[in-house]
Amino acid sequence: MAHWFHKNPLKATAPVSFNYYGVAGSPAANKICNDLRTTRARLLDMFTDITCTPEVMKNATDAYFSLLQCFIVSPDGSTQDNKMRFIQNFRWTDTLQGNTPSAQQDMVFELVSMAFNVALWYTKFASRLAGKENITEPEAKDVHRSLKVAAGIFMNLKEMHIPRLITPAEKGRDLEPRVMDTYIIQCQAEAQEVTIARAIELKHKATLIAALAYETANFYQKADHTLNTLEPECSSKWRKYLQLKQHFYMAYAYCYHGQTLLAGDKCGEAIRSLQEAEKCYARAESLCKEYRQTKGPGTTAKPSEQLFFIKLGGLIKNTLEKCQRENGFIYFHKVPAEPPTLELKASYGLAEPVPFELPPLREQCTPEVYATFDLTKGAKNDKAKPKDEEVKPMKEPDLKPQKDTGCSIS
Amino acid sequence: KAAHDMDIDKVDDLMSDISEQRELAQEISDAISKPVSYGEDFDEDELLAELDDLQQEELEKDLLEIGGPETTPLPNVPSTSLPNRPAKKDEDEDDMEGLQRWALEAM
Repeated sequence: MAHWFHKNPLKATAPVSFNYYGVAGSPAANKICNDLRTTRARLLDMFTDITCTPEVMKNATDAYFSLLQCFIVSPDGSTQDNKMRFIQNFRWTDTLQGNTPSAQQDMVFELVSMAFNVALWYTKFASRLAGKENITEPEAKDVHRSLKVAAGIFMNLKEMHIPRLITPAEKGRDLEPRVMDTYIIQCQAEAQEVTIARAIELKHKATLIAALAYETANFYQKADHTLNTLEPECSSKWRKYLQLKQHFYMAYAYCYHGQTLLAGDKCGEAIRSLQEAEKCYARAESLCKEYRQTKGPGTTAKPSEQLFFIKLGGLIKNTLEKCQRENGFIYFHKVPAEPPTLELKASYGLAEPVPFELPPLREQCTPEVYATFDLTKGAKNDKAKPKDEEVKPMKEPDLKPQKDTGCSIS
Repeated sequence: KAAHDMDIDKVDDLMSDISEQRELAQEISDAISKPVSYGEDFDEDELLAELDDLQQEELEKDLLEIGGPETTPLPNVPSTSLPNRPAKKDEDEDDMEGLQRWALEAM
C-alpha cells in the first residue's frame, strides 16, 4: 500500500560567503571561512538533489555543522558566547510563509534553520519512497526510520537550540513552538502509518490494528489542534490534511474493531462499528475534496483517488455486508444507537523519535585559530558589504504521487 | 352294476377312505411345496445382545481376578522447586513485540 503524505515546501535561504574582510587573521582562519562557504553550498544542493540518500545527507550535514560550531560553541568550553556568533546575517524563508524571508544576525539561527531543513528533507525523502508503486520491505523500513530521524531533529531543535535564540520566532514561522510541535507529531503519525501497513500485511490481530489506527488518528488530531490558533491562510491546507488523515484512521480503527466484535459474536455492535467506520470514511472523503480546493503551501494531490484510500472503502463495505448477512441469518441482534468505544494499547516506542546530536567540533577549530579572528578589523568599515542577496525558492524535485498498482508495504 | 351290490355302509367307508387319502396327499404336497425352514426365525439382535452379555461377564470375571502385589515403585517428589514458567501471553502482545522489533530495526 503506497502512502501519501502532505509536505510543505522546503525552506530557502540566500547564499552566504563567510567573507570577513580582515577579520580572519590567519590562513587557518581563512580556511575555516572558505570551508564553511563550500560545505554550506553543498548541503543546500543536496536538498534538491533527487539522488541524495540519507547517508549522503548525513555526511553533508555533519561537514557543515562541525564547522559552524566553530562560531557557536565557546572555544574554552565556558558558557560565554562565541565572539563570532553575531557577525553574520542569515535569511531564511518559512514553510508556511511563502517567499517572505525572516532574518537574524545569529549563527544559532542559521544552525536551527538549516537543521530544520535537514529534518524536512528526511520527511520528503520518506514520502518520495513511500509513494513508490512497489515498495520493498527494506524501503518501508527506510521510510519509517527517516520519519523518526526527522522527528528527532525537530525535537532536539525545539528543546536544545531554539531556546538559545535572542529573538524568538514570530507567529506562524517555522521555529515557533506550535509549528515545531505539529511537525514532530506529524512525523510520528506518519511513521506509525507504516507500522500499521506492516501489521496488516503480517495479518496481525484485528484488536492490535484497531488500537494502532486509533492512536494514529489521535496523533493527527493532536497535530491539528496544535495549529488551530494560527492564521488560517497559512495553515488551513495543512490542517485539512491532518484532519483527513485523522478521520481516515478513525475509519480504520472502527473497521478493524468491528471485525473483533464479530469474531466475539457481538454482531449488532459490529454492525454499529462498521456504520461508524463508514461515517468517518465519508468525512475523510469530503475533507479530501476540501484539501484539494484549499490554497496554501504544499503539494496538490487527490488523495481520494489514491489506492490506499479506495482500498479502505472496499474493506469497510465488505465487512459491513458480512456483518449484516450474519445478523440476518444467525444472530438477530439489535444494532445499538451508540458507536462502540475504542480501546488503546500501549504501543509506546513504535514511532519513537531517533535522538539527534550535533557532530563534534572540527579539529581545525583550535583555540589558537580562534584567537586569530579579530573583530576589531574590517567589519566596522564595511562599505563593501554586499547587499543581501535575494532568497530564491528551492527548486524541489517533483513529488507527484504515482498512481500505484496496489503493491503493499511490508 | 357294481354300485348295485354296494350297501350304503360300504359307500360311506369308501368315501371316508378317499377323503383320508386326499388329506394325506394334500399334506404331502404341502410339505413338498413349502420352503424348508429350520425352525422359527431367531431375533438376531437378541442373540447378539446375549453374546455381548456373555463376553462382558467373562471380562468382568477376568478383571476381578487381576490382583498382583501392590509394590510398584513410584518416583520421588522432586526436592528442587520448578523454574517459573513465563505466563502465556496473548497473541496481541506477540504481534506487538514483532512490530516493536521491526520498528527498532529501522533505527
